[in-house]
Amino acid sequence: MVNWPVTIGLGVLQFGSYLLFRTNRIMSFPVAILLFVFSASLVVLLKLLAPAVNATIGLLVLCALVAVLGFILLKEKSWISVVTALGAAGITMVVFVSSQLITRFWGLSSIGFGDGQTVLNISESFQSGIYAKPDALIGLKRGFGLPAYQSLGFEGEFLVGFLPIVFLAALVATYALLSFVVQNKLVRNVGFASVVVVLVSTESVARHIYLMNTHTLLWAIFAVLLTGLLKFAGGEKDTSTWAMVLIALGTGSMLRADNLLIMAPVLVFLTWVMRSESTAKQLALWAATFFPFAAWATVLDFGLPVVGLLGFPLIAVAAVAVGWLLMRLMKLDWVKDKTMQRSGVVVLGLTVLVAMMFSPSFWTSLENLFINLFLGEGLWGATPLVSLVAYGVLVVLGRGPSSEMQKWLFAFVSGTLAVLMMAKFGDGLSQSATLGGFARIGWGDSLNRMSVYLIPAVVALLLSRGEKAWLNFEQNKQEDHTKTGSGSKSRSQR
Amino acid sequence: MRKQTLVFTVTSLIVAGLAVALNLVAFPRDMALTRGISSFASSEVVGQKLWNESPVQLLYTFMGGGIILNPGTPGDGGFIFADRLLLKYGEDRVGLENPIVDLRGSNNSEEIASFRDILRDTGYESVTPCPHDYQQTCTVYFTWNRDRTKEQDIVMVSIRVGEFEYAMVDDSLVQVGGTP
Repeated sequence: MVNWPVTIGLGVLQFGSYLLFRTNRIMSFPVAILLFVFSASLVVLLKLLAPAVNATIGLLVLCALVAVLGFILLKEKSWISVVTALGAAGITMVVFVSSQLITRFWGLSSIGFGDGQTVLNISESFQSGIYAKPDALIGLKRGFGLPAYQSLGFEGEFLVGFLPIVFLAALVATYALLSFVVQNKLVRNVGFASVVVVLVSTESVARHIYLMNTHTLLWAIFAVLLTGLLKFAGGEKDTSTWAMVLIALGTGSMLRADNLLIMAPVLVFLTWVMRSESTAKQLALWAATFFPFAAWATVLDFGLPVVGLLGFPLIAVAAVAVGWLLMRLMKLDWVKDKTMQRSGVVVLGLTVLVAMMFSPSFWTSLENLFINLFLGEGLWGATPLVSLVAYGVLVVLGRGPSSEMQKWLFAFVSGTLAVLMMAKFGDGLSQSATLGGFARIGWGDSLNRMSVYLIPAVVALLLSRGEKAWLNFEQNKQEDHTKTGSGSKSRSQR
Repeated sequence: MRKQTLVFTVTSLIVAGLAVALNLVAFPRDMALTRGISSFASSEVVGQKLWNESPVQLLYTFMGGGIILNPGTPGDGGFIFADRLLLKYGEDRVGLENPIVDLRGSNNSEEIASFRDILRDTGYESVTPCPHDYQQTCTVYFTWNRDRTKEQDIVMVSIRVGEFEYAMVDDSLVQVGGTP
């Protein structure tokens, strides 16, 4: 019933993560999940290269290494730190065991989905230590990391009960992001609790609790990346934040090829906000994004014309070179925060313009997107409409210029929307049956499903506006008291 | 501060409650997950189509260019979701006036039982309010000839194969007359 080796491995990873990410302990749980996915992917890659490797033992060894590293890097080696880290590990293990038991008892699993079935087929073949390479595009699209970690289930089974843990990690990562964005505890906690209830009632989101796909992992990854982006943009530079960003980028790269495009905007933004860090640290972001992908694409025998299996490693090297060039360009005088923040909207605008000019089904796609988001066929229910209205009201109540954090969040949302559209067009080009649109009616449409990637940013925008409204209300009250002679000092606004 | 706290908390709860209520009652809900799966073995999940999905979403995903011949009229013997299909397919491609065909009348019970086995083996299952009585729950099997996936103008036929069992299949599996 319970996969004890994986459970223990996850607990050990949580122990190490808790010690390593002292500056953001809440984030240690989602980062532990990402570390698990990355480690599992690495071990399966090794197994494919050397079939004698036992994937479970390999995973446990990697988990132990993370834990040892966490202990070694712990500056103040107190018993309290170790005991609390053990506590965190224990809680994580109890949660995972509960998930496995509940999942098996009620027979809970994913909704039927073609992509998910492909993932199961691949993960089953990984358990046997073989990989039947499908057509190149499908293979790169279906990716590696998801079937890799799912292959750590019992013989013949996928990893039962883990997907809800990923969903939980995405929610916790979103809360960790909010802990940085929203300082008022009441606004943050009541707001987040309200958001969670609404999200779980939204069927399009609830489907992701058990959905055999990578979307929830990307949701968690983007929450981690956004936290890193906003921390560095705000001048808070610490090595553990940089490390968690590397882990998030590396995990995204292990999952699917199109993640390289989808993570591109946030990678560029991160490079900019880290411009005062060493060149090595900045280039490490690009290496973390491209080298894991090159590794699995090559091991799985995907090559390119002319250069063959050297193709993707060369692309990874070229990408790091592009990163270095970008870093040089970013030293130009005209490149400022404002330039970078506006680039997201500019890219989105250009993408929409190109789509209008060259996609015969642009307006149909727009209509389909509306039907999915507002008329229910994408299973989003009333959530988008209520969110928009709530945001509009909060903008009025919390009027004032957007904060720097809000500008970065907007840049992220617009830039990511643009690349999601581009990824969709890329899909269309590879499938002659489609009409080159970017959205079709139904939950299964990829843009509809990938909209969950925007949840952390949208929630952060909503609640930061809520906090602004709260502060405005407090300031108005203070001013009223001052006018009536009650005489209390006014607080400075954020 | 206390009054402000109360106002903020109550407002958040009201807004969240409204959104949840609308989500549960006023908008389409298909299913969020598969329940009661009989096996977690990958080969069985894939081979026996153990994961569930609603007919509406399957139609949207695999029969985007199809014709839905006879889903029936909602509230009058038709599938509860039939009118949702108009958004995607339009009136020309959805035969709301055409009733679901009851195969039990025109075939013997052994043939029906054998056909149901094929539906279970090859199709996705879901549950929906029974077209003949929305107070009861029926199983819907959705299957099609996989060579015809995403075929333009593929005709999907709605049939009843048991007291509480319905199916949607493509017209290479079941032939009925009529146009949308």
